[in-house]
Formats: sequence, C-alpha cells, structure tokens
Amino acid sequence: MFNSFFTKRNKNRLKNPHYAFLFDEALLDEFVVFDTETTGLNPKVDEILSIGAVKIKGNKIITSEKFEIFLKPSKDIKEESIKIHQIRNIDLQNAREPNDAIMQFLEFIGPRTLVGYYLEFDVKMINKYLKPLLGITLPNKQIEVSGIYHDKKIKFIPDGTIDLRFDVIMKDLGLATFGKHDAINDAIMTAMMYVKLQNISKL
Amino acid sequence: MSMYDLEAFLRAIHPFQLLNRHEIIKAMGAMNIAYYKKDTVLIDTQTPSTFLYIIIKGEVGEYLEDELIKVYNKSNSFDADALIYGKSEETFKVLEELICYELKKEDFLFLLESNALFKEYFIKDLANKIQSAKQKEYTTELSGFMMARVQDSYLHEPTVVDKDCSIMNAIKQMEHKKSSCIIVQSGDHYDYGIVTDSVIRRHVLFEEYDKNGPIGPIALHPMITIEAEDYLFNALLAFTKHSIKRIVVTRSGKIVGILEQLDLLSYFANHTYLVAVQIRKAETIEDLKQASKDLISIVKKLHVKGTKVDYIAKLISEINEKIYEKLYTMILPQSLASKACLVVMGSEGRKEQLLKTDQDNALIIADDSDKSLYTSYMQMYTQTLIDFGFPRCEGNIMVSNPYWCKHESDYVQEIKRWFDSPLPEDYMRLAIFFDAISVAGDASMLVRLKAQIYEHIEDRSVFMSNFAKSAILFETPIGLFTNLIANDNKIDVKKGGIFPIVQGVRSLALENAIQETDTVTRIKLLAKLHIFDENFADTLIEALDTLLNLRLKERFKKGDNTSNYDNFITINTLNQLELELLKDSFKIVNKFKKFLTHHFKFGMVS
Repeated sequence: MFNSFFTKRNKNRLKNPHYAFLFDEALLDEFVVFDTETTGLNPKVDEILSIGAVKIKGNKIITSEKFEIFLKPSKDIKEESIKIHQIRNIDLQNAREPNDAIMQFLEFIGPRTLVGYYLEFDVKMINKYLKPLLGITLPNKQIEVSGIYHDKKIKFIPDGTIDLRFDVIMKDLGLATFGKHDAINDAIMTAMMYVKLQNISKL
Repeated sequence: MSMYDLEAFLRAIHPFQLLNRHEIIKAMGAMNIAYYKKDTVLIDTQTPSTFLYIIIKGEVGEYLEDELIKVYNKSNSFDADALIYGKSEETFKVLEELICYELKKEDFLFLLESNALFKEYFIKDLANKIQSAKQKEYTTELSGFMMARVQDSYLHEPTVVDKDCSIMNAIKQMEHKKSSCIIVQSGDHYDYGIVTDSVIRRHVLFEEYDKNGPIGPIALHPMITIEAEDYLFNALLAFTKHSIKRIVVTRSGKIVGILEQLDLLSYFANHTYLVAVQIRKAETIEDLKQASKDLISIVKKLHVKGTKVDYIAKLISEINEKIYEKLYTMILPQSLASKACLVVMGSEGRKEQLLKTDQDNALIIADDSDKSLYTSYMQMYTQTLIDFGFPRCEGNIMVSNPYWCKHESDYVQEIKRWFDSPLPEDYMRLAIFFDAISVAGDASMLVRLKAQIYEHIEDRSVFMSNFAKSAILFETPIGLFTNLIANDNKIDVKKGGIFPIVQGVRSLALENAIQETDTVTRIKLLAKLHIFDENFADTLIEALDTLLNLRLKERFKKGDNTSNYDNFITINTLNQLELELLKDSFKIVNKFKKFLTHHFKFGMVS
C-alpha cells in the first residue's frame, strides 16, 4: 500500500512526461542488470564515472545489446580512485555530459526490474543525478542478487555468517571470474549470478 | 566479460583467430550469453538450430540415436553443420549446466561468407568428422554433399553456338540436346555469353526481336562460372548469391558443362537423382550403359564417405531397377511390354545387393499373349545386361531361361507343385521368387502370384520347417571362446552370417505373409508382430549391416573386376573395432539360429 503511494507521489513529481514509461508495468521475464564505477563510495560527494548495463530475457543475457557509457566528471579523478576502477582521466575523453548519459540510461532500462549487486548504492548514485534532472527517483522494482544468494544459502547454515563478497559468490556459484572489474563486466557477471540463482534451488 | 576480454576469449578459440578485427567485433556484437540447465536439449533432429554455441562453462553431449558420440566443453563450439544445412542428424544435450555464448545463425553464415579461411576450417572440420564417423560406420549423406565437387554432380551438355547463329537455330540445338540454356561464343566484346529461356522470352516476345536474327546481341555477359574442381557447396552459395538457376562449369577456363540448380538440390536430397536423369534421358542402349557405369563410381564415393551400407544398397537397387525398366521398354515393343511383367528376385528383390551381383530375373507373360514372341527379346535382354556388367546368374535364373519366362497360369501351377511335392531345389526357387519385386510391365500379375503363395502357406508347419532349415546349414565361424574361426585368415561372411539372417528372416516373413521384400524392413515388421522383441530386431539389423559392410569393403578393394567378387573377408586386414563388430555379429547370428531352431522345431524334421 505504501509502495503504491510512494510510486504515485514519485510519478507526480516527474518533470518531463516523456519519461512516464519508467512507471509502466514491468515486463515479467525481462530485467536490466547494471553497475556503476564511481570516484568513491559516498553518494553525497562522489560522482559516477561509468555505467554498464545488460538486459536479461528469460535465461539469456543479451550481451549483443549492452549499454556502456562514460560520464564526464566535474573535476579530475583522484589517484587513489584511479587505482581501484582503472578509469584514467585520458579514458574519459569521449565521455558524455552526466545528464545526457543518465537520460540514455533511462531509455535503455525502460520500466524493467533492475538487478544488481549492492544495487542500493548504484541506485542512490543514479538518483543523485536523476532527482535534480527529472524530479524523481528510479521507480523501477529492484532485486538484490546478494540477497537472493543469502536467502538460498542461509537455509543450510542457519546460524552461520555468509560471505557476500562478489568474487566469493561468483566462485561459490561455479562461475568463472574473468577479465577486469569494470561497469559492463560486473553487470554481465552479476547477470550470470542472477540467472544461475534463478535456476538452482539449493547451494 | 568486457569487449576486450571477449575478444581475447574468442581469439583463443580456433578458428576465431582467423577473423580480422572488423569481423571479430561484428561477431562479438552479435553474441548473447545463455544459461541452460542439465538435460536441456539444444539441437535435435526436429528443432532447427538457430545459434552457434560457444561454451564458456559446462558440458554438452552430442548423441546419435541415443549413443553419446562426442562431448564438448569450455571453448568448444557447436554445431556448424546444423547451421550450414539447417538440419541435424544428431542431438545436442546439456550434460553439465551450461553457460555459453550464442551466435545467431545469420551472423555465423555471414562470417563464413566474409572470411574464406574461416569457412575452410568448417569445411575441413567436416572432412575430419567424416573420417572419425567412418570409424563409427556412420555419417550423414549431407557431409557427402559438402565434400563433393562440382564435377561429381551431373553436368548438362552445353549448347554452344556462334554469335551469328540465328535464335531459332540455336533454340533447335538447345531442344535437341535437352539443355536449358545457350552459350554464345566469341561475341562482340565478350568471349562467352549466355542465353536462357527468360532472355529469349524478353527479347523475342516482349521486344519483338527477330527470331531469325543473330543471337549474339541478346546474350548476357559476363557469365557466372565455377571451376569443376570447386566444392558443390560453393556452387550452392553462388546460386543463392546471384539468384541464378544454373551455372556454367569450367575446367581451366574452358566450358565443360552446365550445373542446374535443380540437379544440385536433388544431389543434396538424393544422390540417385543424377543417374536417374541420365537413365531417363538415355535414348540408346549405349547411353544407358554409360549411366550404368556411372553407378559404380557413385557407390564408391558413397562408400568412401562412410554412408550406411543398407542405404547404399537401396540406392543401387533403385537405380538398377530404373535401368532394368528402361532397358525393358527399349528392347520390347510396346504391345508386348504391357502384356508381361518383369520381376527381379533374390538379393535384388530384397534390395540387398551391392555393386553388381548376378542377374536374378524372370518374366511373367499374360495368358492371352503369345509366349513365343518374347523368346528372342528376352535372350537379347539377358545378353545386354551381361554387356552392362551384370554377371550371368550361375543358377540360370534369368529371363533367357524358359523356366523363368512363362505364362502366369504356368507359374500358378508351378507354385502349387512347389508346396505339394517339393523337389530339393524347389525350396530355393520359392525362396527367390518370394523375394521378387516387379520392375516393369503389368505389376498386377506378380501381386496375384504372391497371393497364391500366401494361400498355400497356411498350415504347412513341416513344409516351413524344411524351408527354413537351410538357415542353420552352415556353422557360424565363431568358437566357444568367441574366437573367430578363419581359414588362411579368410572367413566366408555369406555362409557365416548373411545367409542365415536372410534365410531365417525370409522364412519368418513367408510364414507371416509379410509382403515387403527387403530384410531390414521384414525384421522391423516381425518385431511389430512380436515374433521377437524390438531390441533383438535392432541387433539383428546391426549385425546384418556390419557383415554386408565388411563384405562391401572387401569388394571395393578388389576394384572394378566384378568376376573376382566373392564372399570372403580377410580378417588380418581388419582393425580392432571391425574385429569386435564381426565377433559380435556372429554371436547375434548364433542367437538367431537358436531362435529359429526353436521356432521352426528343426529337431522334429530331418
């Protein structure tokens, strides 16, 4: 009940009617997995450097239509964050204006349910741009992959603590982690986790 | 995986490293990742394949009729053949849960077209597969098609005219040669040009070009050609690419014939068609002889490609039938031909014969037709077949023998006598006549005679027992410890296995009034009637196939000299797999003999 109330209120604030499609009924077997690379972990001060997203249809990850975009940061990227995400200033030569990138991202996701790993953070980061731009926050349903993993795992070790690190989950699900961590790569790997979790009943 | 990683992943997979950067980017952009649970069937004979699968993780098994023949795992791709031909003889099933890339069929075919080396890999890969399939005594006819070259296909004789030849004259020549197009040579500004029906239609009918005018100006040029050495597969691609119906075949630039799309597709569908065309078009006995000669070379090709023996055998029988039929109409005047029925018997009737075996044929003459009119024609018929390379039947079971060339009513009486007071040789006569099929003339006569046989067979258990007994006449050449019993490394597979199976199955078929004449079909029908179970039926069919195949191989080694053909195989030239198969086959023969002994109560007759 509250959900629908918040959704309505959110929709009411939408400044540009073109984006009303975000509030449409979500497709049942289509999802968008996305990940962002940022300058740091604080949504208040840090900025998005890149967004990677991929659609899932049924048991297929549609890598042939993937979404990958780089955003122009307002100031030069600091050395310590370059070490983490390996996005250098020179890599952002073809980067887009942040608002432009966010709007393209919205076109890509449509009303689909969003899937991610620590999705809350990525959604907050998107909302940081979205709120001033369109007056709304991302209205899409959200599924937390580490949450599904946790729930399936906890049945068998009720008292234990569960290691929810990305690489640990990948390994536990028998998925090969290859390649570097970047937004699109992590989105695809997260998509693999999701698809696999949908197809197994126990871990 | 990022673009960069995916590229590295793909480049590590043969033959994707052959793609250039542009092509690999296109491939990557077209791929999706899919997840499949264990036991998911990805491709089977019913489901057309829509993707090339490249395994990221997991295992997939390739099954041929429930037998696992290959396992694919990380970095393996499958199944190019299924995409190229749009059908698969095999089933692909997930053995261990699978994450894979899927490259859409059209994108894969695009890559094949755009990169010659890449395509060559898949063609060569096929050659390797044929090699390994041969060891398993199996391959599809499709792979044969892939490996065949343009020159292996039936090429139509080209009608070549000069540029000054009149259109009417050119068309007459084309009609005479039964070709479908005209090649114009040394025209103005071109060496060769082509004129097809549609070109004539357009110029002469629509644009009122003078039909007696020179043909040179209306010819299309340059012509699309293909070298005789090239793969038929490439010809097929050329047809599609240029949307043409025929292509001019050259050898070192010189025109040698025309390849028609229809022939190509038929070759694909059915190898027999090409010889059938030649048989149908034959106007003289000499033409027919040529077609008959081509037959052997086709069989050889099929064998090299590992096609199942019973398929080859059926193919040859069908072609032979067409030759018999055509020769019958060539030799006999129409009035006589329709008043008689030509039948082939024995192994030919059972469609089991391989290469050319003895003539086993007979003529049934309608009671109201004068028998003496046929005599000289039938002598000529037998003689011509000998000339074609069909050896004379040692038992003289041929239309030139008056015993096998008589009135329908005479056969009726003879059949009655076979049952009522059989001489030793009558069991054999009944056996081969029971396998008869009609190939030309009035088939209803044979149907009536077969009906006579079924009528006589009822309640004849002693007769049946005597009839079937010869199936266990010869010892199976296998010892107590499943050692092969050979004489000077040679084993007679006919006495040892083929004949016992054929005769035993024939006896059961006779007893159950089964009308089909070929042994494999008879076995299947007997299983349906629960004479024995389906499992046993399958092993019996396999045993027969193995024995026939080994005999055929031996015959091929002997080359074209048909007079050398016998039923012996040399066991020290067999490989381990073949030896095992041979032993297993004889074990099955022994099991079948035990079954027959019990079924026909051989212990009760002497």
